[in-house]
Amino acid sequence: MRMKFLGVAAVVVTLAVPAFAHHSFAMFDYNKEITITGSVKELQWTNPHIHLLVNAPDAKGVMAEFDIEGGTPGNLRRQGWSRDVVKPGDKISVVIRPLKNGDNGGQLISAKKGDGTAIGGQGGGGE
Amino acid sequence: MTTRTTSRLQLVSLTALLGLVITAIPAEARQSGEGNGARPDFSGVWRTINPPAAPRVNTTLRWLPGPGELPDFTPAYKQRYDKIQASRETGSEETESVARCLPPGMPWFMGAQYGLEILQTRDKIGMFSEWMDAYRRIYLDGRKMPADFDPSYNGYSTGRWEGDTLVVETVNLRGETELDRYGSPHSDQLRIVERIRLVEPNILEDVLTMTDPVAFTKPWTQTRRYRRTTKENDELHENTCAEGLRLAK
Repeated sequence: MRMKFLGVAAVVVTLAVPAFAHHSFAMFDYNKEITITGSVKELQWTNPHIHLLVNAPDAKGVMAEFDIEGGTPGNLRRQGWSRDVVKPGDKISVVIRPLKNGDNGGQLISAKKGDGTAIGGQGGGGE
Repeated sequence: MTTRTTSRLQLVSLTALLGLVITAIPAEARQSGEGNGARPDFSGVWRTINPPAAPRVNTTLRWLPGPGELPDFTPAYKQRYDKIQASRETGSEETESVARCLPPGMPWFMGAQYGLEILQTRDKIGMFSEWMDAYRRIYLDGRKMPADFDPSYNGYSTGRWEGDTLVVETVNLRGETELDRYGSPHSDQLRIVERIRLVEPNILEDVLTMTDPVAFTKPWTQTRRYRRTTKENDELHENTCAEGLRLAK
Protein backbone atom coordinates (compact mmCIF):
# COMPACT_ATOMS: atom_id res chain seq x y z
CA MET A 1 0.00 0.00 0.00
CA ARG A 2 2.78 2.31 0.98
CA MET A 3 4.68 1.35 -2.16
CA LYS A 4 1.61 2.18 -4.21
CA PHE A 5 1.43 5.62 -2.67
CA LEU A 6 5.12 6.23 -3.39
CA GLY A 7 4.57 5.17 -6.97
CA VAL A 8 1.76 7.64 -7.45
CA ALA A 9 3.85 10.36 -5.83
CA ALA A 10 6.69 9.61 -8.24
CA VAL A 11 4.34 9.94 -11.21
CA VAL A 12 3.14 13.28 -9.93
CA VAL A 13 6.69 14.55 -9.55
CA THR A 14 7.87 13.41 -12.95
CA LEU A 15 4.78 14.67 -14.74
CA ALA A 16 5.11 18.00 -13.01
CA VAL A 17 8.63 18.51 -14.38
CA PRO A 18 7.72 19.90 -17.83
CA ALA A 19 6.24 22.98 -16.23
CA PHE A 20 8.26 25.27 -18.46
CA ALA A 21 7.66 24.32 -22.03
CA HIS A 22 5.18 26.25 -24.13
CA HIS A 23 3.22 27.91 -21.33
CA SER A 24 3.31 28.45 -17.62
CA PHE A 25 1.21 25.97 -15.71
CA ALA A 26 -0.52 28.64 -13.64
CA MET A 27 -3.76 27.83 -15.47
CA PHE A 28 -4.24 24.66 -13.40
CA ASP A 29 -5.60 24.56 -9.87
CA TYR A 30 -2.84 23.12 -7.73
CA ASN A 31 -5.08 22.83 -4.69
CA LYS A 32 -7.53 20.46 -6.33
CA GLU A 33 -7.49 17.00 -7.84
CA ILE A 34 -10.50 15.44 -9.53
CA THR A 35 -11.05 12.12 -11.27
CA ILE A 36 -12.58 12.02 -14.74
CA THR A 37 -14.10 8.70 -15.80
CA GLY A 38 -15.21 8.24 -19.38
CA SER A 39 -13.96 7.13 -22.77
CA VAL A 40 -10.98 8.23 -24.84
CA LYS A 41 -11.86 10.50 -27.74
CA GLU A 42 -8.29 11.09 -28.95
CA LEU A 43 -4.68 11.03 -27.76
CA GLN A 44 -2.76 13.90 -29.39
CA TRP A 45 0.84 12.70 -29.14
CA THR A 46 2.43 16.10 -29.72
CA ASN A 47 5.29 18.23 -28.46
CA PRO A 48 5.78 20.05 -26.26
CA HIS A 49 2.89 18.46 -24.33
CA ILE A 50 0.48 15.67 -25.11
CA HIS A 51 -3.29 16.21 -25.00
CA LEU A 52 -5.69 13.46 -24.00
CA LEU A 53 -9.29 14.18 -25.01
CA VAL A 54 -11.83 12.30 -22.90
CA ASN A 55 -15.63 12.22 -23.17
CA ALA A 56 -17.04 12.13 -19.64
CA PRO A 57 -19.82 13.63 -17.56
CA ASP A 58 -19.03 17.11 -16.22
CA ALA A 59 -19.82 18.38 -12.71
CA LYS A 60 -23.52 18.63 -13.63
CA GLY A 61 -23.62 15.13 -15.08
CA VAL A 62 -23.83 16.36 -18.68
CA MET A 63 -21.52 14.59 -21.16
CA ALA A 64 -18.63 16.86 -22.14
CA GLU A 65 -15.20 16.74 -23.74
CA PHE A 66 -12.26 17.16 -21.35
CA ASP A 67 -8.91 18.40 -22.69
CA ILE A 68 -6.24 16.88 -20.42
CA GLU A 69 -2.68 18.06 -20.88
CA GLY A 70 0.33 15.89 -20.01
CA GLY A 71 4.11 16.06 -20.27
CA THR A 72 6.38 15.76 -23.29
CA PRO A 73 6.05 12.67 -25.51
CA GLY A 74 9.73 11.83 -24.89
CA ASN A 75 9.47 11.97 -21.12
CA LEU A 76 6.13 10.13 -21.04
CA ARG A 77 7.61 7.40 -23.24
CA ARG A 78 10.26 6.80 -20.59
CA GLN A 79 7.41 6.36 -18.12
CA GLY A 80 5.70 3.68 -20.17
CA TRP A 81 3.31 5.79 -22.24
CA SER A 82 3.21 5.62 -26.02
CA ARG A 83 1.19 7.17 -28.81
CA ASP A 84 -1.04 4.08 -29.01
CA VAL A 85 -1.26 3.22 -25.30
CA VAL A 86 -4.98 4.08 -25.54
CA LYS A 87 -7.34 4.06 -28.52
CA PRO A 88 -10.51 6.03 -29.23
CA GLY A 89 -13.39 4.43 -27.35
CA ASP A 90 -11.24 2.91 -24.58
CA LYS A 91 -12.64 3.29 -21.08
CA ILE A 92 -10.35 5.45 -18.98
CA SER A 93 -10.14 7.07 -15.56
CA VAL A 94 -7.86 10.11 -15.22
CA VAL A 95 -6.79 12.11 -12.17
CA ILE A 96 -6.29 15.76 -13.11
CA ARG A 97 -5.68 19.19 -11.65
CA PRO A 98 -8.62 21.05 -13.13
CA LEU A 99 -8.41 24.27 -15.12
CA LYS A 100 -8.93 27.31 -12.91
CA ASN A 101 -11.24 28.97 -15.41
CA GLY A 102 -13.83 26.21 -15.03
CA ASP A 103 -13.46 24.82 -18.56
CA ASN A 104 -13.55 21.03 -18.84
CA GLY A 105 -9.91 20.04 -18.71
CA GLY A 106 -6.78 20.03 -16.62
CA GLN A 107 -3.30 18.73 -16.06
CA LEU A 108 -2.70 14.98 -16.21
CA ILE A 109 -1.54 13.45 -12.93
CA SER A 110 -2.21 9.75 -13.49
CA ALA A 111 -4.43 7.53 -15.60
CA LYS A 112 -5.92 4.05 -15.42
CA LYS A 113 -7.41 1.90 -18.15
CA GLY A 114 -10.92 0.45 -17.83
CA ASP A 115 -9.49 -2.79 -16.40
CA GLY A 116 -7.76 -0.85 -13.62
CA THR A 117 -4.18 -1.09 -14.91
CA ALA A 118 -2.16 2.08 -14.46
CA ILE A 119 -0.84 3.72 -17.61
CA GLY A 120 2.81 4.50 -17.21
CA GLY A 121 3.36 1.92 -14.51
CA GLN A 122 4.70 2.89 -11.14
CA GLY A 123 6.36 6.10 -12.11
CA GLY A 124 9.54 4.73 -13.67
CA GLY A 125 10.55 8.10 -14.97
CA GLY A 126 13.48 9.97 -16.49
CA GLU A 127 16.11 9.82 -13.76
CA MET B 1 64.56 -5.53 -47.56
CA THR B 2 65.54 -7.39 -44.44
CA THR B 3 65.70 -4.17 -42.49
CA ARG B 4 62.24 -3.17 -43.65
CA THR B 5 60.79 -6.57 -42.69
CA THR B 6 62.43 -6.33 -39.31
CA SER B 7 61.11 -2.87 -38.63
CA ARG B 8 57.64 -3.91 -39.78
CA LEU B 9 57.82 -6.86 -37.39
CA GLN B 10 58.97 -4.55 -34.65
CA LEU B 11 56.09 -2.21 -35.40
CA VAL B 12 53.59 -5.07 -35.30
CA SER B 13 54.88 -6.36 -31.98
CA LEU B 14 55.05 -2.83 -30.58
CA THR B 15 51.40 -2.28 -31.56
CA ALA B 16 50.45 -5.61 -30.02
CA LEU B 17 52.33 -4.73 -26.85
CA LEU B 18 50.64 -1.33 -26.69
CA GLY B 19 47.30 -3.06 -27.14
CA LEU B 20 48.10 -5.35 -24.22
CA VAL B 21 49.15 -2.42 -22.05
CA ILE B 22 45.95 -0.50 -22.84
CA THR B 23 43.81 -3.57 -22.25
CA ALA B 24 45.58 -4.10 -18.94
CA ILE B 25 44.44 -0.66 -17.68
CA PRO B 26 41.07 -1.06 -15.97
CA ALA B 27 38.16 0.52 -17.84
CA GLU B 28 37.53 2.93 -14.97
CA ALA B 29 41.07 4.26 -15.10
CA ARG B 30 40.79 4.76 -18.86
CA GLN B 31 37.57 6.68 -18.38
CA SER B 32 39.04 9.01 -15.80
CA GLY B 33 42.11 9.54 -17.96
CA GLU B 34 44.55 8.03 -15.50
CA GLY B 35 47.36 5.75 -16.53
CA ASN B 36 47.67 6.37 -20.26
CA GLY B 37 47.75 10.15 -20.43
CA ALA B 38 44.46 10.30 -22.34
CA ARG B 39 41.77 12.86 -21.62
CA PRO B 40 38.64 11.67 -19.84
CA ASP B 41 35.82 10.96 -22.25
CA PHE B 42 32.51 12.62 -21.37
CA SER B 43 30.75 11.07 -24.39
CA GLY B 44 27.47 9.44 -23.52
CA VAL B 45 23.90 10.14 -22.54
CA TRP B 46 23.47 11.68 -19.11
CA ARG B 47 20.47 12.27 -16.89
CA THR B 48 20.43 15.14 -14.45
CA ILE B 49 20.59 14.27 -10.79
CA ASN B 50 17.88 16.62 -9.64
CA PRO B 51 18.29 18.74 -6.54
CA PRO B 52 15.52 18.38 -3.93
CA ALA B 53 12.28 19.82 -5.28
CA ALA B 54 12.01 23.53 -4.56
CA PRO B 55 8.83 24.78 -2.97
CA ARG B 56 6.37 26.56 -5.20
CA VAL B 57 3.58 29.03 -4.69
CA ASN B 58 0.50 26.83 -4.88
CA THR B 59 -1.68 29.29 -6.70
CA THR B 60 0.66 30.21 -9.55
CA LEU B 61 3.24 27.44 -9.42
CA ARG B 62 5.97 30.09 -9.22
CA TRP B 63 9.16 28.43 -7.92
CA LEU B 64 10.57 29.77 -4.68
CA PRO B 65 14.38 29.93 -4.59
CA GLY B 66 16.18 28.40 -1.62
CA PRO B 67 19.25 29.87 0.10
CA GLY B 68 22.14 30.43 -2.31
CA GLU B 69 19.98 29.84 -5.35
CA LEU B 70 19.94 33.48 -6.39
CA PRO B 71 22.89 35.65 -7.42
CA ASP B 72 23.56 38.84 -5.46
CA PHE B 73 21.94 41.31 -7.81
CA THR B 74 22.94 44.92 -8.30
CA PRO B 75 20.12 47.28 -7.26
CA ALA B 76 18.91 47.69 -10.86
CA TYR B 77 18.76 43.92 -11.43
CA LYS B 78 17.19 43.27 -8.01
CA GLN B 79 14.43 45.62 -9.11
CA ARG B 80 14.14 43.70 -12.36
CA TYR B 81 14.01 40.39 -10.47
CA ASP B 82 11.23 41.69 -8.18
CA LYS B 83 9.24 42.81 -11.22
CA ILE B 84 9.59 39.34 -12.76
CA GLN B 85 8.31 37.71 -9.55
CA ALA B 86 5.35 40.10 -9.38
CA SER B 87 4.48 39.30 -12.98
CA ARG B 88 4.75 35.55 -12.44
CA GLU B 89 2.65 35.82 -9.30
CA THR B 90 -0.25 36.89 -11.51
CA GLY B 91 0.19 33.74 -13.60
CA SER B 92 1.59 35.73 -16.52
CA GLU B 93 4.18 34.13 -18.76
CA GLU B 94 5.49 37.40 -20.22
CA THR B 95 8.78 36.88 -18.34
CA GLU B 96 9.06 33.20 -19.20
CA SER B 97 10.74 33.00 -22.59
CA VAL B 98 10.78 29.18 -22.72
CA ALA B 99 7.00 29.27 -22.27
CA ARG B 100 7.01 30.95 -25.68
CA CYS B 101 9.28 28.24 -27.10
CA LEU B 102 12.46 30.35 -27.08
CA PRO B 103 15.68 28.50 -26.16
CA PRO B 104 16.62 28.45 -22.46
CA GLY B 105 20.20 29.51 -23.32
CA MET B 106 23.26 29.14 -21.10
CA PRO B 107 23.52 28.53 -18.17
CA TRP B 108 19.95 27.15 -17.96
CA PHE B 109 20.76 24.83 -20.88
CA MET B 110 22.74 22.71 -18.42
CA GLY B 111 19.51 22.08 -16.46
CA ALA B 112 18.93 19.49 -19.24
CA GLN B 113 15.95 18.03 -17.42
CA TYR B 114 15.17 15.41 -20.10
CA GLY B 115 18.72 14.22 -20.70
CA LEU B 116 22.00 15.44 -22.12
CA GLU B 117 23.91 13.74 -24.93
CA ILE B 118 27.62 14.54 -25.11
CA LEU B 119 29.79 13.72 -28.11
CA GLN B 120 33.46 14.44 -27.58
CA THR B 121 36.31 14.59 -30.06
CA ARG B 122 39.82 15.89 -29.50
CA ASP B 123 38.92 19.31 -30.89
CA LYS B 124 35.27 19.78 -30.01
CA ILE B 125 32.50 18.75 -27.64
CA GLY B 126 28.86 18.80 -28.71
CA MET B 127 26.10 18.80 -26.12
CA PHE B 128 22.50 18.08 -27.07
CA SER B 129 19.75 18.62 -24.51
CA GLU B 130 16.41 16.95 -25.16
CA TRP B 131 14.69 19.78 -23.30
CA MET B 132 13.78 22.29 -26.02
CA ASP B 133 15.90 20.43 -28.61
CA ALA B 134 18.90 22.59 -27.77
CA TYR B 135 22.53 22.24 -28.85
CA ARG B 136 25.78 23.83 -27.73
CA ARG B 137 29.36 23.29 -28.83
CA ILE B 138 32.63 23.77 -27.00
CA TYR B 139 35.80 24.29 -29.04
CA LEU B 140 38.90 22.57 -27.68
CA ASP B 141 41.33 23.37 -30.51
CA GLY B 142 42.64 26.62 -29.06
CA ARG B 143 40.66 28.93 -31.33
CA LYS B 144 39.51 32.36 -30.21
CA MET B 145 36.03 33.74 -30.80
CA PRO B 146 35.85 35.59 -34.13
CA ALA B 147 35.63 39.35 -33.62
CA ASP B 148 32.30 39.73 -35.40
CA PHE B 149 30.50 36.76 -33.86
CA ASP B 150 26.81 37.40 -33.15
CA PRO B 151 25.61 37.09 -29.55
CA SER B 152 23.61 33.90 -29.09
CA TYR B 153 21.50 31.96 -26.58
CA ASN B 154 24.31 29.55 -25.71
CA GLY B 155 27.15 32.01 -26.33
CA TYR B 156 30.60 31.09 -27.59
CA SER B 157 32.39 28.38 -25.62
CA THR B 158 36.06 27.46 -25.62
CA GLY B 159 37.61 24.83 -23.40
CA ARG B 160 41.02 23.67 -22.18
CA TRP B 161 42.12 20.76 -20.03
CA GLU B 162 43.53 21.20 -16.54
CA GLY B 163 44.45 17.60 -15.78
CA ASP B 164 41.19 15.65 -15.76
CA THR B 165 39.05 18.78 -15.53
CA LEU B 166 37.71 20.54 -18.60
CA VAL B 167 37.62 24.30 -18.03
CA VAL B 168 35.12 25.99 -20.34
CA GLU B 169 34.68 29.71 -20.81
CA THR B 170 31.48 31.03 -22.34
CA VAL B 171 30.99 34.62 -23.49
CA ASN B 172 28.91 36.56 -26.05
CA LEU B 173 25.54 35.60 -24.56
CA ARG B 174 22.28 37.38 -25.28
CA GLY B 175 21.10 39.44 -22.33
CA GLU B 176 17.39 38.68 -22.30
CA THR B 177 17.31 35.01 -21.27
CA GLU B 178 16.63 33.74 -17.76
CA LEU B 179 19.37 32.13 -15.67
CA ASP B 180 17.07 29.46 -14.26
CA ARG B 181 13.52 28.50 -13.37
CA TYR B 182 13.28 31.42 -10.95
CA GLY B 183 13.51 33.81 -13.87
CA SER B 184 16.70 35.44 -12.58
CA PRO B 185 17.83 38.12 -15.02
CA HIS B 186 21.34 38.83 -16.30
CA SER B 187 22.98 41.20 -18.77
CA ASP B 188 24.85 40.52 -22.01
CA GLN B 189 28.06 40.91 -19.98
CA LEU B 190 27.46 37.51 -18.36
CA ARG B 191 30.55 35.29 -18.48
CA ILE B 192 30.48 31.64 -17.44
CA VAL B 193 33.42 29.48 -16.41
CA GLU B 194 32.61 25.79 -16.07
CA ARG B 195 34.76 23.13 -14.49
CA ILE B 196 33.56 19.79 -15.83
CA ARG B 197 34.93 16.47 -14.56
CA LEU B 198 34.03 12.89 -13.80
CA VAL B 199 33.72 12.67 -10.02
CA GLU B 200 32.99 8.95 -10.44
CA PRO B 201 33.24 6.90 -13.66
CA ASN B 202 29.53 7.43 -14.27
CA ILE B 203 28.89 10.73 -12.47
CA LEU B 204 29.66 13.96 -14.30
CA GLU B 205 29.93 17.25 -12.41
CA ASP B 206 29.71 20.76 -13.81
CA VAL B 207 30.61 23.64 -11.49
CA LEU B 208 29.47 26.86 -13.15
CA THR B 209 30.81 30.17 -11.93
CA MET B 210 29.06 33.19 -13.36
CA THR B 211 30.21 36.79 -13.33
CA ASP B 212 28.20 39.73 -14.62
CA PRO B 213 29.53 43.21 -13.75
CA VAL B 214 26.18 44.79 -14.68
CA ALA B 215 23.78 42.39 -12.94
CA PHE B 216 25.71 40.76 -10.06
CA THR B 217 27.72 42.27 -7.20
CA LYS B 218 29.89 39.14 -6.94
CA PRO B 219 30.50 35.83 -8.75
CA TRP B 220 27.74 33.24 -8.43
CA THR B 221 28.36 29.48 -8.47
CA GLN B 222 26.07 26.56 -9.21
CA THR B 223 26.90 22.84 -9.23
CA ARG B 224 25.08 20.35 -11.42
CA ARG B 225 25.56 16.59 -11.53
CA TYR B 226 24.57 14.01 -14.10
CA ARG B 227 24.42 10.22 -14.09
CA ARG B 228 25.45 8.20 -17.16
CA THR B 229 22.52 6.24 -18.54
CA THR B 230 22.53 2.53 -19.10
CA LYS B 231 22.35 1.18 -22.63
CA GLU B 232 18.62 0.39 -22.28
CA ASN B 233 17.83 4.00 -21.52
CA ASP B 234 20.27 5.93 -23.69
CA GLU B 235 18.04 7.30 -26.43
CA LEU B 236 16.78 10.84 -26.46
CA HIS B 237 13.64 12.06 -28.18
CA GLU B 238 12.59 15.17 -30.07
CA ASN B 239 11.13 17.97 -28.00
CA THR B 240 10.05 20.43 -30.67
CA CYS B 241 8.31 23.10 -28.64
CA ALA B 242 7.07 24.97 -31.72
CA GLU B 243 4.93 21.97 -32.67
CA GLY B 244 2.53 23.06 -29.93
CA LEU B 245 2.13 26.52 -31.43
CA ARG B 246 -0.05 25.21 -34.25
CA LEU B 247 -2.42 23.74 -31.66
CA ALA B 248 -2.39 26.79 -29.38
CA LYS B 249 -5.70 28.55 -28.97
